[in-house]
Amino acid sequence: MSQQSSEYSEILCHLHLFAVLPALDDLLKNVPEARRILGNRNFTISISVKNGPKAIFSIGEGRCLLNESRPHEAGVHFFFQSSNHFNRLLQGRPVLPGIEFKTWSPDSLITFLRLLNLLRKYLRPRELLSNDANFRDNHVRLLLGIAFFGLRQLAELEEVSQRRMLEVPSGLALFTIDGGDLAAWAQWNGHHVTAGKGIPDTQPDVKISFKNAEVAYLALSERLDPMASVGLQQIKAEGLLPLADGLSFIIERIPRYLSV
Amino acid sequence: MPNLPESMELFRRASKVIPGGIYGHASPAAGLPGAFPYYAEKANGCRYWDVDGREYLDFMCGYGTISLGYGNPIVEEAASRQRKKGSVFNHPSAVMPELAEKLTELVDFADWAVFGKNGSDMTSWAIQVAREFTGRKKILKVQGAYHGVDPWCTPGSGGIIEEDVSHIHSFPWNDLDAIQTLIARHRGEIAGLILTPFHHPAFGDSQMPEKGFLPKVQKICNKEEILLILDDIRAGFRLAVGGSHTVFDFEPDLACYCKALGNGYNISATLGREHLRIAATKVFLTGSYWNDAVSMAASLACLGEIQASNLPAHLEKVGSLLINGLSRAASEYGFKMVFSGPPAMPFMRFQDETNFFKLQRFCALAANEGVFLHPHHNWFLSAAHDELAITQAIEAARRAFAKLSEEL
Ligand SMILES: Cc1ncc(COP(=O)(O)O)c(C=O)c1O
Repeated sequence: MSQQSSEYSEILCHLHLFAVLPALDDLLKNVPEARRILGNRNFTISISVKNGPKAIFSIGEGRCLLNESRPHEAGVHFFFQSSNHFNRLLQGRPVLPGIEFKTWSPDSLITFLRLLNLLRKYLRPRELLSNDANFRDNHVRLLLGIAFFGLRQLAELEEVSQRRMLEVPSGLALFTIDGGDLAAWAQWNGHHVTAGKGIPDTQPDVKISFKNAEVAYLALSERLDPMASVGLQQIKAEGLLPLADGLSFIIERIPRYLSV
Repeated sequence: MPNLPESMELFRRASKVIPGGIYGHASPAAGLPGAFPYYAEKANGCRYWDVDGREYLDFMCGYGTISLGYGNPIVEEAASRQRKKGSVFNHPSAVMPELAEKLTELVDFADWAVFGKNGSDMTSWAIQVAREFTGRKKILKVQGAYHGVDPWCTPGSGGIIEEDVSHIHSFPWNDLDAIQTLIARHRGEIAGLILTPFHHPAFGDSQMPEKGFLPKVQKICNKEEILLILDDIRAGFRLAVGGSHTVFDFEPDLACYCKALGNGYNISATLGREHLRIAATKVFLTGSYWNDAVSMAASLACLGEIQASNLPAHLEKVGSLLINGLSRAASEYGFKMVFSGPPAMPFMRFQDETNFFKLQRFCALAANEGVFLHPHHNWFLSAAHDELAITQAIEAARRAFAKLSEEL
């Protein structure tokens, strides 16, 4: 898709806000360096894009929780003039947003930006060359979260994804990585996709399991032949396969926007 | 579960040099990876052997391409007679007009025939003929129906641009109102309506036409001067010797056939009515191997045998035996099965299940017992399936149901 189109930057903006930034939570939960950066600070970051989405993140006690609907009361409030303007922040390009402090705390602003930098580092695949299994596991964990939260955004906003989902049977899909604690789910009810991390309470209609984090990483970043991997049983798929196919179709579109 | 080292080793090699390892409907991903074999070694009658030497009673028949049974002697003899003379020449062979004569004699509405190699060759050509004849752009099709791999109809999404499908509009099977709505919206713009004689989606029950649906579709098409194209590629000559439209009491303008036609020799055909002859000459049609005389000779023999043995009656009989036997075997273990579609090509599922877990497990267990039943696609029977084969299949399925009930 053309980088210039307004649909592209709007979708990218939603992905950044509702799929990438929430990955800070996984970063804080799993990466000691992130917890060190945060220390015992406790603050909220509010982000609003003119004529676009808003979100508030509560950061503290080792978590970063997204609250889409809470009223305007954040510690630091960022204003962006457009989707493109906000996208620059997440792309690590120079950007000067409007900033308002509800309570004067430049320290929270700096902490947030440092966390963002660390997140970007963990999302960069070239860092995998370090061969650090721990790093790779965290990379996959972050990608999986971004894929599933991003899935919801594309299903809601992107026409191609909406059209594809109309042909997909409804149900609950569970994606897991064998021998680890990583799992994510997505539910399609014929109108909307919801998604989350972990094992859902109800039985899934389709189960996709990756043999290990490496396979999941390669699959999520489109570096693996998925059909061959299923044949080789590196990826196992059982149940309502057309549901998994539909969801995978959307997940595979995310790199068109987020080239992590 | 089965140990399929040779299949796996071949697949490992294949996955290095072939994208997907195996692509399309035969991809392991479309079946039961690790439970179904990936490669076949040989076949005979209604049985085949995989590369690991395991034998299966086959209920897929090469996804329908085997109508009389693997290695049918009448077809093989006709093919080998032609093979001795040659297969592809600079010109077609005498067998080409002979085959066209045979088909137009069998299929009542047809005045001419053309040939291709695969189903997609024919469905794509047929919609072009409809566009050429009517001077219109749009095509109506049934939601979720498969008509092949070309951009206007592929179920895949890779490489497809908006313009490929911007004149293709879908309606739900059996929904006359939806057809009328589409026609009202695009009056005077619709070239053709393409449908199969019954709806046979993958991962779902087959749906028969409601009484009068197809004759009414024909009436609407005739009134609106829309060409009615029958995609009889999967069902053709399995439900009736004269083509499936005779079962459902309607007449298309064009009909495409393929799977039952050559008993494994690759050939497809489109048959049409007189008034479309000139339009047909205007839509360019050819292919490197399309005049291949061996496939045509095989097809001629195959059609003769389908007619002489009344294949559809046999398929209905053995298909019904299979369905009844499987239902009974299932109920012995407390399972209730739902069968849909005609007995000649049934689709089976567990009554209480929509997500296929149990069905996939059952089909894996059945494969291990030596019966190849697909959990996601309608099955096919052939002339080679006799009562003994059906009895053996039911016995093997009974063992699979027993194991399944132990596991649950
Ligand atoms: C109804 C129908 N139409 C068209 C096709 C396409 O035929 P082919 O795969 O030979 O191109 C198929 C193949 O399964 C089919 O079942």
